Amino acid sequence: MLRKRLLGAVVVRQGWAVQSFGYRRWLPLGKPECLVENLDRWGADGIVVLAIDRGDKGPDLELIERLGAQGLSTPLTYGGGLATEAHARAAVRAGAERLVLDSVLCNSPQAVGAMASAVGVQALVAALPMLQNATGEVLHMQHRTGSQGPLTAPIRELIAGEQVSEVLVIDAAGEGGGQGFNPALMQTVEAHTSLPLMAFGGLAQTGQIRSLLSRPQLAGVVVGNALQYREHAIGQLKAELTDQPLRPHRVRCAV
Amino acid sequence: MNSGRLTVGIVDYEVGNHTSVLRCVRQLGFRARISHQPGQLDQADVLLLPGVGAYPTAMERLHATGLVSYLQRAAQLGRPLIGICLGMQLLAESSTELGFTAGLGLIPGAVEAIGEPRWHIGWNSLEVAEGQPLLHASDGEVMYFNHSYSFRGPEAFVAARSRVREGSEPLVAAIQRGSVWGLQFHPEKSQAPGLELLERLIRAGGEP
Repeated sequence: MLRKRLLGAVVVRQGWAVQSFGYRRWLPLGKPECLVENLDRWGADGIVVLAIDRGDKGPDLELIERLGAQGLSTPLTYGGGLATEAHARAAVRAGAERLVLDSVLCNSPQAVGAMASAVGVQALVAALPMLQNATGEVLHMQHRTGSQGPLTAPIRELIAGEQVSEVLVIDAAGEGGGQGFNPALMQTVEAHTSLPLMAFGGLAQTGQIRSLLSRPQLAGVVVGNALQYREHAIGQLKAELTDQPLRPHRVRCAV
Repeated sequence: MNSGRLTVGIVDYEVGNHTSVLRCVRQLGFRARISHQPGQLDQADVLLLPGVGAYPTAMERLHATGLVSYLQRAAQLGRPLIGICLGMQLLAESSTELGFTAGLGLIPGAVEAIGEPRWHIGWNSLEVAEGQPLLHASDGEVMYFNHSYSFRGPEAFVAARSRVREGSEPLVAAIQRGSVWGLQFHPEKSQAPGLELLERLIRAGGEP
């Protein structure tokens, strides 16, 4: 039976791994390679690296290559600057198994089909940063412009038409806060797609994660900051979540 | 070939991430080289065919690099060959991904869309078929899968299966015909269970 996943996230800005607080403030944590190596050693079900300042610079291929050169035995998902088929092909060739698409969903959604032809739909994950405003309305936030609004028709068509294989729902307001993931965001996205979903942002406590994992459509949770300050935090979380359909924790011995 | 440390030849056809497989094989203690040159691949004890992406593009690249006939001849000669993920699917006779494409035809069967659900992404346990001593130790182990098309073919060539849901129709997770193996999952990304399985297959391939 397919297991749900507990993935570790590393947010990268200006080449450094950072602790992000709602994408507004950043605290340097060190070299991304070190944090990724830890997640690999500790037995994360996947590693998500998000380079959040790539803009029009394209993907950070040097970073992906450096991470790939470490010989990770954990699937690596990369996001940041991916806008074209050539970007997608190059990022996979550099060492990413899967790609997180964000701005391209808003700026040129038609490019997603070409990316899928190049690397396979199963490699593509749509990132949707969402937040709930004071009136309770759930909105999609575009990082680059800061604009907020309902999911646009092209994005709704992309996820309803399964032109990507999973959706990463990001709690944009809760990100970095550890106060839990707002379930209203998940409900909103669930209404638009039957794709497997992943949750990221604000997740630190076992209870929060358990609650999300109980949602049938949820395929995985992505934890960032909470994993960076404890040795073997993945193993500890999994030990507290043995009632959930997660992969059993088994740390790699030297081979 | 050599009588000491085994050498793995990673077939480079410019599709997917070969470096990741290279690192993994070297971490397992084997010599490894990435190449599309028959002369260099001839030096390897075991051939490894990785792959990430779409089937037609992959076959197009294999044709463009002249590797189709090389791999078919290698299999005829009984040389050990391991295909991973898309590399496994290429061993089949054909695929319907993005239209019909003929494959390498090394193992009878075809690659078709999974159906419902469309994806098989994440960690799933193996159900190893009877009579597979090399895979036996991996029965029940959890491996990393990432695919939306799946091999369908005669039972005789199916070495392991996985099920998306309990009680659902199984998907083929591994195939074998003689010294040719196909692994739908990524052993190089499946941490200890995957590395152990890959090591066993490579060692077995290097045995006389």
